[in-house]
Amino acid sequence: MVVNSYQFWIFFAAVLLPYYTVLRRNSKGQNIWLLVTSYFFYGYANWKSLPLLIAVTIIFYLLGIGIEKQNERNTGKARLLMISGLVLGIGVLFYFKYLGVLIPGATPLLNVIGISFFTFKLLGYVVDTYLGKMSAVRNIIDFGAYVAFFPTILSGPIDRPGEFIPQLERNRNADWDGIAEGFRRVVWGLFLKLCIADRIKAYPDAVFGNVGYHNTTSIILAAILYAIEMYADFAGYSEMAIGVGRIMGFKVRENFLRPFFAQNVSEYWRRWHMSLTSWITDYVYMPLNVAFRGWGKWGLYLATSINVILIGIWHGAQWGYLLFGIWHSLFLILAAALEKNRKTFEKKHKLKGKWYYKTPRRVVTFIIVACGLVIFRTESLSDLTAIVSQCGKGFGPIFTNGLLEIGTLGLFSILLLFFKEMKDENGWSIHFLHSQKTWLRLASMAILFAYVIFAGELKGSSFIYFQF
Amino acid sequence: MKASQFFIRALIVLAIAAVVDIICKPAMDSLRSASLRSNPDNYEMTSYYGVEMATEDMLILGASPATHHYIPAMLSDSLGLTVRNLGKDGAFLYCQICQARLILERYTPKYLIWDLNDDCLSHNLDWGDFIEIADYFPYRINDFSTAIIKEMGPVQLFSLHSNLYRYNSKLPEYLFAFVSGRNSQSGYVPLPAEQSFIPEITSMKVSENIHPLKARLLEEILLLCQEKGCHVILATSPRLADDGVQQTKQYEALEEIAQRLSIPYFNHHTDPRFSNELSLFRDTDHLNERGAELYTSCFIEDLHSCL
Repeated sequence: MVVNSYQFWIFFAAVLLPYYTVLRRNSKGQNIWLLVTSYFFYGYANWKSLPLLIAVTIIFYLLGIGIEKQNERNTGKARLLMISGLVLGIGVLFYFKYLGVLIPGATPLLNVIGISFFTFKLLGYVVDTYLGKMSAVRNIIDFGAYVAFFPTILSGPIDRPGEFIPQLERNRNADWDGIAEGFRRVVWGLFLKLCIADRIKAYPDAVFGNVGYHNTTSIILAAILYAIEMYADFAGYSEMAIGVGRIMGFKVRENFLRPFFAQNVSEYWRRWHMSLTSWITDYVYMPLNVAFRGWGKWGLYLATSINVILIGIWHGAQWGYLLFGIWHSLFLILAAALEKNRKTFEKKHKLKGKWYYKTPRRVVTFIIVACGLVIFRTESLSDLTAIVSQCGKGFGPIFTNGLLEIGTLGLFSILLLFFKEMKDENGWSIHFLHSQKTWLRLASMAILFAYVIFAGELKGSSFIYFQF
Repeated sequence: MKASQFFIRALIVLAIAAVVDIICKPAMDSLRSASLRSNPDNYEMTSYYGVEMATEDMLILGASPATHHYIPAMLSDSLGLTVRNLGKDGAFLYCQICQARLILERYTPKYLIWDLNDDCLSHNLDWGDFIEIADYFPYRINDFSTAIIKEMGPVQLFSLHSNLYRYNSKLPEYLFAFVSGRNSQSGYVPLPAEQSFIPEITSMKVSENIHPLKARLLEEILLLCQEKGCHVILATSPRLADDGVQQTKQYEALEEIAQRLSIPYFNHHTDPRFSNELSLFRDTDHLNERGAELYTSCFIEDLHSCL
């Protein structure tokens, strides 16, 4: 039941009806309903994984209370409980996701969907409770609803307990402005997914699926389109999840901030999959940075590398993900090493903020990112070698299958996205979906909705990030 | 914002979308007509040509093997008939039946050559069975099409009330046909001689079981052709011998239907003149230009034996 399917919207309507009618003055009732429907949603996707989700939720709920109690008594057992939680969470993640790598040939009992997302929520929770950043949640319904919150359980964004759980504790009456904003974000998410990601995906699939038959020209085009596809697919899902959350009265974490406008790789990571990057930065990078501070800049480089390699292998146990992490770590180290020189150069030539300085940097960053995503896509080293060796054979006539639709509907949609991002990035005061004029806002919404039906790829496909 | 304001605004959004939906139909119909008139030999226009313009004595229907294996010029020269190839890549049986129905509503060709894949009656159903039917969504949806579309799920039936949905993704092909040149020879699209990929045996497994609705609908359309006085000839094109497909049940079912209705059926699936000749194929399922010429000659001999 994906967010862009009619089944989801029937389900969602059934969720909303009691949520905003009989339960609207009762936050406890709303949370129970949210928990039940979230478990139904998760069970509908894979009912076999549901007991695991419930079990880890209960264990971490108890751990949170235990940690807080021990913290109050100052016995030192809190640290032990926190470490137990980390071992358990990471153990579950490793068993269900990486077992095949640790023990070749072994397969886990279940294929647990959304495991990377909900285990990170749980791990963050025990650490925050241990550090006293938040109080332990005393209500298991609230905690369960946070962990299993259906708009985000399958593909994020990864909400922080300290931000999300307080929202569960207050009453959620229908905020009609919020609901309208939620629908706007859902329609924009549909546009990204159906009019861009699904519209252009056939080309990179065809080229990288039979790379031996393609030349450098087609591979470059496929790499560019794949980068756009990945962004539109994942950002599209995130927009819809945030929109659905907003309709239900929740503020879900943002996940993307115009990543292709980043001027270096470091900035790119502050704009791409922000909920994961910030999670790993807070819970892995910062402690590592502190631990390695005696090593000077080498400590910084090591912490940076571990950070980004972890982001890579968080996606799964494949060479491509590891190499993706290594690829990015190289450029992050380079950026960190040259930062002082860059700033001096910028100051000397008064380049900061100048378009002719920003644009080439953005282009170079995009090329690095697009190459990284090609690495990300490969399943094995031999796949990557095949792509590189095929690129070495030189340019040639472009592969044209599927280009007709990409070149018309796809290109128009990409230009539309580019314009919106450009306007947001530069703060231009041109607004459509968020115009102050009601008629323009409504007309934009209607036309965008109509355009999605007219030009979207409606054959139906899943989201790339569902596999993680 | 108050609840009443929200709902009024939601209604306004839907009303504007409905207006766009209404405007879409005449605009897209005009564009299609213009494209079809200006470039009837464009492959993208094949489906529309069949429904709106075809007047030939002999039509060729089928999926990609039809498109790439039957050369209308050769058939025309040999038989002294006007011939048009209406084969469409990826147009599986349901789509072909829809196409035939819509053509027969307008006129009756003298002959209908129907190339049927070896898995055309397969029990497996997936989106591929339906996707090319979308070509016919802009046309009136009759009772027959509804029966097929029901197979696609209730949402499809509901969605067809929207013009925007019916014309979904059609703009590129209409525009392309308008601006590009002729890219088929009366519907026939030759394939170059070099192999496009190495045949993979494992990927070709399909269900041998017969889908009852497919078999019934095929029989019904064949009967309709006969009632209208159109001579149907069924055929199966050659494939590479080692492609791992042995759909004996499928062929038996096709032969049974053909026999029951006294329709000639020429099955070249394992014809040794082709199936062991790698040089005649572009890939497992498709003959290249040279293979198509050879096959069309053989098929002309078949036709001479039954016409």
